Amino acid sequence: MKFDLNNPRTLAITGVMTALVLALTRPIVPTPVGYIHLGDIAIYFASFAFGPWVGLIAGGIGTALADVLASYASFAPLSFIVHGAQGFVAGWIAYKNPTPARLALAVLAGALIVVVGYWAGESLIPILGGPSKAWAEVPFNVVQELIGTLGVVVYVAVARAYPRLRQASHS
Amino acid sequence: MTTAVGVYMSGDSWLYRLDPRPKLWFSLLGVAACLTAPGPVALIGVLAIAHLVLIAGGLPMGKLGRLWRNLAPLVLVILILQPILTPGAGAVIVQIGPLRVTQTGMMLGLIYALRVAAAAFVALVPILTTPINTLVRGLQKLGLPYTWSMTVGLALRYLGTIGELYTTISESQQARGWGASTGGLIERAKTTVPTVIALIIASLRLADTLALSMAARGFGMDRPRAWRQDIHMSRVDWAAAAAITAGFVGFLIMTVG
Repeated sequence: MKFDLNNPRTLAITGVMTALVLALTRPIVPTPVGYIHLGDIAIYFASFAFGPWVGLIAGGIGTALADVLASYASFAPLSFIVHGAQGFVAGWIAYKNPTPARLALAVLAGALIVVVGYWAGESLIPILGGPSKAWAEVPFNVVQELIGTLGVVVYVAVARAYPRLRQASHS
Repeated sequence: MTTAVGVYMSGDSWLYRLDPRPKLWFSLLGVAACLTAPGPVALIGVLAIAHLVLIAGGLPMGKLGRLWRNLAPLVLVILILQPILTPGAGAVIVQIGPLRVTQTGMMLGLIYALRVAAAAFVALVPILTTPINTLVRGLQKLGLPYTWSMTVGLALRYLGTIGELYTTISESQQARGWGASTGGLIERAKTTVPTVIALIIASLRLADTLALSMAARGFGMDRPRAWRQDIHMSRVDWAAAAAITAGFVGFLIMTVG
């Protein structure tokens, strides 16, 4: 998909994908340092289906808004950067040629960005809880990213069940 | 699906009527105050000001309570883990094997927890008290490109729609015997996948309809955009912005200088 936000179709898809990430970044299981959610599945789907720029905006804005709405406002800038980078890199790797190897590589790169990004951000920025919280959150972020790998399953299933997806994503 | 706690609920008070720009300015300077506050007293001050603004602005107490309930687990974790994992120097209060809790560690935990709580409340002031379209227009007037502010607006607008779609799909799958709320974490995530697939397909159809209606309204044409209802800074809005700035400068003088 040629990325031009002045095109109504591109803006509509980007807006709805951002809303999807925002809606799925809601707690399914609370953890001692936050919550496990399905937002990564939506970020990977948006990146694989519509490319790196939609992945960046949907991942960045969607998760940042979710943080603000869930009273985790101080994490919003970090979430914007980390999940925006996750969406961009995943889309950059797998959007044009979504082979199984590329999809796996995209998810692996995305997971690394999230785990390392949150750890580094929380360690370096005192308002986010400091080094103790950064270390405590690592195992939960790993679980979170394991759940995020379901994004590949979801992308493949949607592409099969909704053939218009390939046409829409590459028009 | 859990409903977002920090979403706009209509109201009629001075805070709701205020232009979004002074409210966004309040949030920005409030977060800056949280970052520069040197100790717990200053942070309690920021937290108290955010509460005073929200209560005086007519936000229901029940809503404030729900925000606190949402925030409580994070605050507790920081209060408990910070002193244990980063004890620092100073008088030891408790020592169990290699683990020790010091006064410095406890103070640091308190400061981190108060920072997170205070930043959450000041950041929520504009979102809780401003309609989405007005907030989007405010962001645009502050320099955010129209398409980016529109994306934020669409995401907030369609959050409710997608939440309702999720509930409908989830309930209809449960009615067919597909349980999504039992078992371990991975099991629960796996059983949610069919719901997410259906939700994504429904969202793609929603995007199609939205794109058509935006195109029908001339979105993307090379002509100046018109607004049915624009926002303007009144004297009260300017006075509020000046008071917020003066308050922030006073805070800096008292705490840092």
